[in-house]
Amino acid sequence: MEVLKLSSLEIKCLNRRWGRFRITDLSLTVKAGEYMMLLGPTGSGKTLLLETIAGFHKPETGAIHIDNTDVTSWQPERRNIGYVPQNQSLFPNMTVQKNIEFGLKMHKIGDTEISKRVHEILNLIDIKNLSNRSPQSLSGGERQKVALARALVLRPKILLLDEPMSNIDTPTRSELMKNLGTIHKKLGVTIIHVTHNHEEAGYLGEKTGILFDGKIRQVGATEEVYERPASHEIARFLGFDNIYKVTRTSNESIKIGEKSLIHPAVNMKAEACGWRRENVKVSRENLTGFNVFKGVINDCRGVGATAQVTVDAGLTVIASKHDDIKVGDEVYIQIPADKIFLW
Amino acid sequence: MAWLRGKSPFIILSALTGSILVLFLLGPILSTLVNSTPGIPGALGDKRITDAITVSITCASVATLLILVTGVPLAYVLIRYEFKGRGLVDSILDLPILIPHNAAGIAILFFFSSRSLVGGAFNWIGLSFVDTSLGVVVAMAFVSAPFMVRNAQEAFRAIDPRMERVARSLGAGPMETFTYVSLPLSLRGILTGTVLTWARAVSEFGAVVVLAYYPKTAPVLLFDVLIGEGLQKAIPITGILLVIGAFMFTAFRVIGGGPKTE
Repeated sequence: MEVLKLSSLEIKCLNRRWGRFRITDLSLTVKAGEYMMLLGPTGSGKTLLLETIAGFHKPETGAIHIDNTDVTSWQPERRNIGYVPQNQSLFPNMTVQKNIEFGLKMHKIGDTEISKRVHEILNLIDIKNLSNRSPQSLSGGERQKVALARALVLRPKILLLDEPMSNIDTPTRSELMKNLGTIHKKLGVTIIHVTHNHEEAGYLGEKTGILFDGKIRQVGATEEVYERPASHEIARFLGFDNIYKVTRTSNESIKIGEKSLIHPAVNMKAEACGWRRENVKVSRENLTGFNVFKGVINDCRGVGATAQVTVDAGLTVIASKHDDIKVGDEVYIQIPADKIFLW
Repeated sequence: MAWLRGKSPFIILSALTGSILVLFLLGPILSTLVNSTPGIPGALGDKRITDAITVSITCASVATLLILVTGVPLAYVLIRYEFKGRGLVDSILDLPILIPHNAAGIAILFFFSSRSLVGGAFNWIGLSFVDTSLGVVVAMAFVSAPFMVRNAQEAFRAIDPRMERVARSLGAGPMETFTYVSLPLSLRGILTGTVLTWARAVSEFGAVVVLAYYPKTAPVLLFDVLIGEGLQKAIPITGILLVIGAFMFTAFRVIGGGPKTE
């Protein structure tokens, strides 16, 4: 299958309210061929944004440009935007093949070309064996693949994915994530993928936008957003376990309650601070350097990568668990100064 | 009484009280069918009766067709689009069920008589509603329309709107989306609505008798015979109407409109 013509998307100051969801003054640029992740909690307006881009809702104000053409007033069928909703929405009255052919028929493409394109996409997504099945007989992962094929067969300018991994088991999710990465690499299609799962975003997104309450709160290269969350709300959403209110700041330190922590570049207006649990060192032996506190392990839970301990060191700190640590152990913890974020 | 074993007292009590209702509904119908069966072949040889049944079936079919082509799009619009006055339009649909049917007949007569503006306009192009087949169709359509619209609404409501949105994103316009996605998926509900609408139309008496006493429909003839010739003469006609009803009931169940257990 040929590489698609790459298209860019620009959203300018979009406003739209729909029931309890709303989008407020939202601006966003997605470069041609980019894989953009939009991360946000449930109710943040992710689906509403995608549906507005696809043309299902008219914005109250603002504009949507595709390749520098204003498409704000265009009907969805004219935009050539692929849309895969959360539940895939395969047509239950058609087989997998008919589902994939549907868009091509609507575009009045000839039978020979339809056969060629369907054959190509079935091979690309690796679902040739499903072509005569009914959507009702497919597993969640298979349905997701068919929905992708149905959208991609039209060679869309932009592909919109609404929580494509939800309700899918972990092994299938891993496989689908790999597939999406491969498809993006092969076809180069511009993708906007919304999710509340930051692991998906970390794996697939070249760029990540954080959407809270219908507003883009931060946007940038995925690594940068992960490494430098712009606020403590974003940090918490991205998995920072340790977030505290800063009670006082001075030139080189911050205070959290009664505890002082050294920080190399104190922002005097800092209201909150935080760090990731994997950056906290935990040891039975005393540690040297700054920000070392003695404490007791008062909780120990999880296995594998999720394993964590809670240390009471006059400050409740969550850290990654080491094998030999258990509840009641006296330990020393160290919070490296350069890993402390201030907001 | 093996089926009672292990059942909770609540279920047993519900089943017993429910049985009273079932017997109340079934008793009169079954006894009429049994008593009318010997007279049905003779009644079918009576031209008055066959003519009345023909009028009923023909007019009910035309009325159902008219409601089908106007009611299904209305149901779709009411489910899928928001507009000012949607609630009002939706409520109006229940009016024919709420008002007494002879009152509905008077309302239709008032609106469509040649003395009214609308009736006058139709009269001018040669269409009259009083004591004509057209009047029968209009009266039947008026009282049975809600059955079509409500069933179609339920059928459209059951379709995930995201499915229609996907169709639009794939290049289908609103009309194509309706034709290839919404309509096939709601067909069962619409067919159920069609059967119920037809059944309601064919059995209508109150509105029809006010607007169009002639040509006589089967229920009007039945009333006439009952008043003029007595119960014994009316029973075979009743039997025929019950057979038609049983036929529609079977069609309704075959389409899938029957009750479903969780």
